Amino acid sequence: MSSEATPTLTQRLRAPFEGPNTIGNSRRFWAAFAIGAALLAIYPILFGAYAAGTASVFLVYALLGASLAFIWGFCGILSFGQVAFFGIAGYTFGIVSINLTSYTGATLGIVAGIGVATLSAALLGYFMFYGGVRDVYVTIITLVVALVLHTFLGQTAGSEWAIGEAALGGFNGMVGVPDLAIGIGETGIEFGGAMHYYLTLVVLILTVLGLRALVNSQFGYAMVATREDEARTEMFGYDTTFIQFVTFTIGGAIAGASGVLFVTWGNYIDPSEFAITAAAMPVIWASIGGRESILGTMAAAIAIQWIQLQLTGEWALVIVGSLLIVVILAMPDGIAPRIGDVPDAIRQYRQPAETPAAAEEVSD
Amino acid sequence: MALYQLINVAFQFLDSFAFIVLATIGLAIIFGMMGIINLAHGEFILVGAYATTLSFQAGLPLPLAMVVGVVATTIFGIILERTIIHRLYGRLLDSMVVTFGISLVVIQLTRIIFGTSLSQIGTPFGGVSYGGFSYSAYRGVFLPIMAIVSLVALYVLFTRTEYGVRARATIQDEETARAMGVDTDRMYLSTFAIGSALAGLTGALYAPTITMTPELGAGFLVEAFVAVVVGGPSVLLGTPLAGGFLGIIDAVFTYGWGTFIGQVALLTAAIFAIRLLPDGITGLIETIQEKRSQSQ
Amino acid sequence: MSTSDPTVKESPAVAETGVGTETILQTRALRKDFGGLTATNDVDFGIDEGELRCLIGPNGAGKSTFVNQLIGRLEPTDGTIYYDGMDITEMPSHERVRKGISIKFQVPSLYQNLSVRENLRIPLQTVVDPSAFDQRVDELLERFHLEGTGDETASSLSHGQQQRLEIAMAMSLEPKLMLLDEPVAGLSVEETAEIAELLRTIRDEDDVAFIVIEHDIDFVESIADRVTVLHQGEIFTEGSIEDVRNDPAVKRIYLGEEQ
Repeated sequence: MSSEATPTLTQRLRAPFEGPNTIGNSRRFWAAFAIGAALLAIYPILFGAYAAGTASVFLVYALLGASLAFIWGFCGILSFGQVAFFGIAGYTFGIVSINLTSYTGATLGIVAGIGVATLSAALLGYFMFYGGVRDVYVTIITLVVALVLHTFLGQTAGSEWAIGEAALGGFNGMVGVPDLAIGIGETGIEFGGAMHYYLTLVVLILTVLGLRALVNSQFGYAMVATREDEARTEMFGYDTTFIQFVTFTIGGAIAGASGVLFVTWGNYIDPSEFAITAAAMPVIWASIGGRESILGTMAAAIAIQWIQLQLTGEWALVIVGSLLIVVILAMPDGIAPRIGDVPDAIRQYRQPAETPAAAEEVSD
Repeated sequence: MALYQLINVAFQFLDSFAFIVLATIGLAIIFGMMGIINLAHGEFILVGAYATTLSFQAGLPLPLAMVVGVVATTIFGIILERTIIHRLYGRLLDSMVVTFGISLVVIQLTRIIFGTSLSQIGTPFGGVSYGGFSYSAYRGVFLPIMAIVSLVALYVLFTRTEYGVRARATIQDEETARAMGVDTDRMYLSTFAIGSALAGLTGALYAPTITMTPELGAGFLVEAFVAVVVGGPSVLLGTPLAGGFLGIIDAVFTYGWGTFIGQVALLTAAIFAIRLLPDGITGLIETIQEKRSQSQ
Repeated sequence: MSTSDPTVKESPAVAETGVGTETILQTRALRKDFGGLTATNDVDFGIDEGELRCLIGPNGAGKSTFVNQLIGRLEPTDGTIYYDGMDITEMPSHERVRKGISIKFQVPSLYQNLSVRENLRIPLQTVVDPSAFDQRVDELLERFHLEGTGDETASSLSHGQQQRLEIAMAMSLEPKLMLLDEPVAGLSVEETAEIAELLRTIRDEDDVAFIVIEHDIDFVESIADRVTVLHQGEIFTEGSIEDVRNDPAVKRIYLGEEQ
């Protein structure tokens, strides 16, 4: 981030979102980002409102993936429990909005959904990090939490498992969840169909920018230092336990937001969102897309979920699983860090006058 | 009446104890030696269970079918180790992700090849009756015995065989072990094979009592992970004690309030255990041994 | 508590202030047991502001264990640690660091995958404003003879450069008390002399107190105001480097004959 004379306006605008902690700090990157965002924005125009409404879920998954990339890529917290906060938020929204109809209900539902998810993350984070739990044990505990929630919600089939008008529904799930809406009483805006798509897209873009700014800030450096060497970072005066706790809670909040968007997309949620396959999907997206790249993870989430949808049938997961194995073995940091190498690789290819050794210079 | 309830809880405890021990030993050995959490552990159990069920359906007597189950899983494990796993030593988080990928592939392939379920082998041995109640002899008596036999066999393996001595040396200090001539690559392979065999044994033993679906592995995960966390890296010390401790918790809470509460209790136990005993029960035992030797 | 001993070569800082300086750190009856082994045995250790104290002793004397308790990495079994007038025995490490204690460990602990500049930024941002980063980083690079390495990855530096970077990082916190565990281990004679000069300069210019663990006796001689000899977890003797160097009892413990 070397500043020459006086930085231009665009440089000043870009500054908070760039830094050594994020991959992609060039004009090329922002150009690609803008193009990507624009393409996503015109998708409903090209393919119609219905298609957009259906495709919205991919953006929702991208948001969920971002929550994991943030805490894993930047703070080293590998959590299988993001789906837990995702699901908790979804169920909470359902319970609140089914019971309190009208726009007030939906609005409160959003607040409650994200609020309860954030609180759950804070609670779990408190018990884990202040309890001295680290590394692989964090991963195990978050996984177990998701699985336990799965068991719990799976056995809520009976009619006694209803909160007010909202029946939890056991393995059949909670149905009749209203659309997302903001307002009071009878006045407000509803977000169905293409509107849901646009809202999710806006949330996604704001999250990316927000996380990039956070990660390149002082707190971001503290996160990265904690990830690299927690003990040493503590000795520089950082309360690393608090840093991990806050990071994990923020991750839970983002996952909660995606959960609210999810349940209002399909008007439905069921315990399969907490099962081990679902719990592992964010990890898969981040592993393949590149956990240190929020955009990479988002892109991988969209791509992988789309692939799964296309390959209806059993081979979908076989391919995803195999892809996961191959990528981790060949590119442990995921695909995103390698993208910068592509233009160089192309250049090398176009100039075979280089010695064979130089031409083979693809970074490991 | 109270006596019979007590006997019932006692059987539940033995059932839970056996389940937790058998669910965990394969995972714990690999974790203790290589520090790897095998997220495909449930699928190793799956291979053992399916191989057993299929051999039984092909006409083999049950004990022989179980042997087939163990052997099949061991071969499966060895192949995986040689092709994929051995590249991941030292890469703990990566190994979790890759083994999860393996898990996905195995579950799906199983579904593709064998469909959504296999017909189950009937549970042998009937029931143990006590005053009008009865408990499955297989789960309440036979499996606990098998769990104890496995632990004893592991004890013998680790303390009386050459492999065991070398294994313990490698666990203690890999650098030194290698300097003393232990072929650590071979050590990891053998350990992974043993861990696979044990997971296969679990699958074989439980095949007659659980539904044969491709997802059956998931039913063992919560208990296995919690036991590994509570027990610590030592299979000999940690796993049986964790099995006992968690078995009691599981029996009492599940009996009183159902599966979900039982699992919540296990999860809570895990969190407390990590908080109080960072190295699990293994660490606690070692601290006690140290204190005792120092006061002499 | 140390007194002004006229036979001890006084550091210029002490000489300038004239009157006896303040004690910056004092332990009382500090004890650390590991199971059956007592690594720190009833230690009363004191050091003044701006004093450069070297902590020496045979292997296994408990030097690192002692220092780790000062920074809070290990919890003492018994005893108290006073720093700058406060009882810090229960204080978590990161708070102690915020209060002005800084440590450079024996084992290399740089952020290997980050650049030199980023390495320095991490401790720096706890003490300075973002607007001053680049300037401070450049100052530190110059002071510790690391000019031009700013954008290199820490892992690509030479051993000597890495040692200097670690000291730079610890110093960037502007501590009042620096704990250095074997700062010249593995360095060449020239590099060792460089570090010695750096430490003397820092002590003189910034009035930082140092506790330095080292085995290199010549190095110790070139920097120490006073020396504390540790043996089997206890303070064996204290004094100037000349006194200690010529003490036959000290020679014996190094040769292992004394119990």
